[in-house]
Amino acid sequence: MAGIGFVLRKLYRRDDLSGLAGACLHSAFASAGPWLFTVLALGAIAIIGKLLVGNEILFNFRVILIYNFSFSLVIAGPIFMIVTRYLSDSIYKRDVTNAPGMLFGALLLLWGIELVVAGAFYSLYARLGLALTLSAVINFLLLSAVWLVGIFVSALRNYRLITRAFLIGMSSTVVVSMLLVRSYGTAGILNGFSFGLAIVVAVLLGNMMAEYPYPIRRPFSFLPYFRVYWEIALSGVVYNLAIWADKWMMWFAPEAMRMDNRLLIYPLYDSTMFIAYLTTVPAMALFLFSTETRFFEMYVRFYRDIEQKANFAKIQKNHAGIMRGIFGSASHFFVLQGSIAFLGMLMAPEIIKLLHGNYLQIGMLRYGLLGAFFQILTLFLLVLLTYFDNRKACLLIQTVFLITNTLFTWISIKAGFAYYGFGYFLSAFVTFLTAAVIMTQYVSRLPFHTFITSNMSVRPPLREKV
Amino acid sequence: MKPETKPADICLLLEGTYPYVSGGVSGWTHELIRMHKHLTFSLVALVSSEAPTKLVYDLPSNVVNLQTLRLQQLREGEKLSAADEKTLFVKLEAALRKLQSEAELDDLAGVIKALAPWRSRLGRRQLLDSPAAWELLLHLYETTMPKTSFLDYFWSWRGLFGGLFSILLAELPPAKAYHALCTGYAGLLLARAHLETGRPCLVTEHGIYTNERRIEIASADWINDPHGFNLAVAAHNHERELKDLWIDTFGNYSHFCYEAASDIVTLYEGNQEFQRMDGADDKKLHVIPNGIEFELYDQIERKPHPPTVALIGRVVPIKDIKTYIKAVQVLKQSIPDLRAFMMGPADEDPAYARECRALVEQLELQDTLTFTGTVNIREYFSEIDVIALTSISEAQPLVILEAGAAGIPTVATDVGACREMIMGSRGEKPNLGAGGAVVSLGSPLAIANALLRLLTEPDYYKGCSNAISKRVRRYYSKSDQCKAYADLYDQLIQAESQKPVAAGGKKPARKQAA
Repeated sequence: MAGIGFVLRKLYRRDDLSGLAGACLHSAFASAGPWLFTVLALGAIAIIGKLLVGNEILFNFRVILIYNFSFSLVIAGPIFMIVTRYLSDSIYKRDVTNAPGMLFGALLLLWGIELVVAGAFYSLYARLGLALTLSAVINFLLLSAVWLVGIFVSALRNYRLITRAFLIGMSSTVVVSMLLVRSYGTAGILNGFSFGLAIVVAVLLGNMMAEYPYPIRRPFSFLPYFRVYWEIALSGVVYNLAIWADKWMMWFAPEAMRMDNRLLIYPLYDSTMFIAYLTTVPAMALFLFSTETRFFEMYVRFYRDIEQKANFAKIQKNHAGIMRGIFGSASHFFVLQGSIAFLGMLMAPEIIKLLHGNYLQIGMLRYGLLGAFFQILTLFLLVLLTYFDNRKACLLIQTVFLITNTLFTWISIKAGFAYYGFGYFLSAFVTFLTAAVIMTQYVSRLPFHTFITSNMSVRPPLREKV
Repeated sequence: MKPETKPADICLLLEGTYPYVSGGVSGWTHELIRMHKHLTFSLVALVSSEAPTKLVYDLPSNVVNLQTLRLQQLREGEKLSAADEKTLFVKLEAALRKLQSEAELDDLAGVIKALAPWRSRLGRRQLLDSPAAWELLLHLYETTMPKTSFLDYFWSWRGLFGGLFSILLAELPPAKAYHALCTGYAGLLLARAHLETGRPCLVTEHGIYTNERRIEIASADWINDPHGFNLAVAAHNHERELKDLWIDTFGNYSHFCYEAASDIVTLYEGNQEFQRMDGADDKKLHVIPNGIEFELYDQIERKPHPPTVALIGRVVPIKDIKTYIKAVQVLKQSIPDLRAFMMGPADEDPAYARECRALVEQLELQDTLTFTGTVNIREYFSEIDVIALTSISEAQPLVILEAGAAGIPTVATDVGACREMIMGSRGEKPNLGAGGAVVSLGSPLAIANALLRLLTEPDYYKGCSNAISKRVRRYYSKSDQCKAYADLYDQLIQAESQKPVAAGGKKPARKQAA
C-alpha cells in the first residue's frame, strides 16, 4: 500500500482543513495530471496556432485527434483490460518477471491490429493525402502506446512521474507543432503532437524498465486470460463503445459536418460534451481520494479479518462498515458533483459566452452536465464492483449504457435539435439507476458472495488453467 | 448401469483402498473376492476428490460392477422452486442439527427422507451454494459455535456435509447383501443401503477408522484449539469447538454403521473395545482373524546355523527398525556369533533406510546385521531362530503366523493383534501358552532381553515353539477364515429383507434408485 494511497492517508489524518485541501489537490493532480497537461497543450496549440495559420488546419487536426482518441480506446480496450488484470494478478502473486515481456507482446498485438484497422480506414476511406495519412496512423499507434505503458507505470502508483512525463511531453508538443505548422500544416501539428507522445512513452518506458528489471520473455503469456476473463475483455469494448456511442451517432446528425476528407464531425456537440466532462475533474479527485483511503481500509479489513479467523459477528460488523463507507462516499459525490452540475446549468449561458461558444450550445451543455453527473456516479459504482471482482455485473451495466446511449441518442436526433444531448443524459440516468440497484443488492449480500459466488475455490475445477 | 441390472450377491463398500491403492486391506479384499468364486460382487470405491483412479489390481471375473464415488464432489444439480426449497430446508435443518451431536440411525433416516422427494434433482447448486444453504449454515453456526472462526467453520461444513450429501445422493448398486470394509464414509453408505433397501449389512474393520481420525483431528493445527492436543471429547468443560464437530460426526457415522449392520467383524479382540465405545452392540461382534495356509510352512527342515534373529518387514519409520538395530547391538554383547537379518524392501522411504544403514555402521554391526531386501521368507525360515517385530503400530502382522507355523517364536511390541497371537486371546481355553514374548515399544533393551532368553534357554524355546505352532494351526487357518466369511455371506444372502425405512421416492426392490 505504498505510493499515493499512503501519502494521501497521511495527509488525511491531519485534522485541519489545509491537510484535507492538500490531500484533495494532491489527488486531483494524481488522477488528472495527464489530462490537464494534454488539455492545456491543446489549448495552447489552438491559441498560438490561430496566430500562425488558418482555422481549417487547426480544425482538421482536432478532428483527426478525436477520431484517433475514440477509436484507440475502443479497439485497444480489451487488450488494456486484460493486461491490467494480468499485471495485477502478477503483482498479487509477487511475480512480475513476465511484465516486460507482456508489454512487448501486448504492444506487438496492439500495433498489429491497429496498423490494419487505422491503415485501412485512413488510406481507403478518408481522403487525407499521403503525408497526413501516415501522420494520422502514427499518431494513432502512439496514443495507444501511451495508454499501454501507462498501465504498467500506474501500477506502481508513481503518479509524480507520470505527471512529469506529460509535462515534458506536452510542452514539447506545443513547441514542435508550432514550429512545424507553417510549413507542414495539419501534418505538422499532428506530428508535433506525436513527438510529444513519443517523449511521454520514452520517459514512461524508461521508468518501467527500471522498475521491472527483467528480460523480455514469454511475450504472449497473457493470452489465455482472454478466454478465462472474457467478461473483462468484453467490458473493455462495451464500455468504451458506450461512452462514445452518443458522440459517434451525433456525427450523423443533419447538422453535422461532412468534410472534404470525408471525416464526419459535429464540433458543437463534441466540444460541449468536453466542457461537461471537464467539470467532473474535482469529483474524480474526490473519488480517488475516497477509495484510496476510507473504502480501501474497510475493504482490506473485511477480507483480512476473515482470513484471520474472525467470527461471523465481526464479519457482519465489517460488512456494515463497508456499506456505510460506500454510502458515505456516494453521498459526498452526489453533493459535490451535483452542486457543480447545478451551478453549471444555472450559469450555462455565461460559460458559453466565456468560451466564445455558440449560443446553440447552451441547451446541450445543460444536458451534458446532467449526463456527466450520472456517468461519473456510475463509474464510481463500476469501480467498486470491480474491487469485488463482480465482472458480470459490470458487463451488464456497461451493456445497458451502450444500448440506451445508442438508442436514445438516435431518438434525440430524430426529435430535433432542441433534444440533442437529451438522449445522452437519459441514458446516463437509466444506467446509473441500474448500477445503483445492482450495487445495493450485491453489497447487502457481500458475505454470501464472498464465500460462495465469487469464491474460486468453491467452483469445481474449471477452465482456470492460467 | 442398465436399469434392469440383476442385483449382485455382495456389494463391497471400500474407502481409499481396493482397487486403486495397493496395501494390506486391498490385498485382503482381492483375496476375499477370489475366495468366493461362486458369488458375484459389485464394488463401490470411495476416493477422495484428488486421488488418482488407476486400477492397480486386475479385477476377478466375478466382479460384475465397479462404481467410483469421489467424496465431496456433488453433481451440479438444479435449483428447486421457492416453495419446495423452503420445505426441504426446514426438514434438513432439523435433521442435520441432530446429526451434529449424538445421533441415532433414525436421525440419518430423517435426512434421507428429507432429501427423498427431490433426490434426482438435488446437487451442489441447491445443497451447498444456494442462499438457502447459506442461511442454514449461518443458523447452525450461530446456534452451535458462534465464536468460532467462521472461515474454518465454513470449510468444515462444506467438507462434512459435502461428504454426507455425496454419499446420500450417489447411485447405490442393488445387491443381496452389503459389506463395508471400514466405518467412516463407507460405513455411512452401508447405513444408507440398509435403510433404503432393507437388505442385511456386514462391516469388517481392519484398523479402527474413528480412532485414526481422532488422532488426526486432535493433532491438526488448522483447527484453532486453544486447549491443545486433547483427545478427550468432554462436552461440558469447554465450549463446543470445531474439533468436536469433526470427531462427533465421524463417531456418528460409525454408530450408524454399527446399528445398521447385523454383524460387526474385526481381526482381533483388541479392536472390539473401541467398537463397544462407539456403540456397537456386543451381540453383533465377531473376531475373524486373517489366517494362513499352515501346510506351506510346517514342513520346513531346520538346518544348522549360528543363533539367528530376523525382522521381516518394510524399512519404514512405523516399523521402528532403529530399535531393532540397537537391540541387536545389545544382544551381540551376550551372543558374539549372533546373526541378524533385516528382510524387506528399503525403497519406500530411502531417507530412513539410509539412516538405518548409517546406524548399523556407527554401531559396527556390519558383520552381524544384513539387509536382504525383498526375499522369499520360506527359504530363510530354515535358518532363523526368532522373529523380532518392533513396530509402533500394527493390525495383524501375518509374519508372526507364518513364522509360528514353522515353529519360530516371535518377540513383538504390544501393538495391534500381536499380544493375542503370541500369548493367546481371552477366548482361548485352555490357553496354549506363550509363543514368544510381548514387550513395550521403543525399548531396545526389552527386545534384546526377550530375544536372549529364547536363544539361550532351550527348554523355554521349545515350549514357545510348540505353543505358537499349535496356536496357528488351531486358530489361524486360512480355511477357517474362508469358511467363516462364506457362512456369514450365506446367512446374509438368504436373510429376509427388512422393510426399507427411507426409499428414494420410488418403488424398492428391482427398480434402480436414481
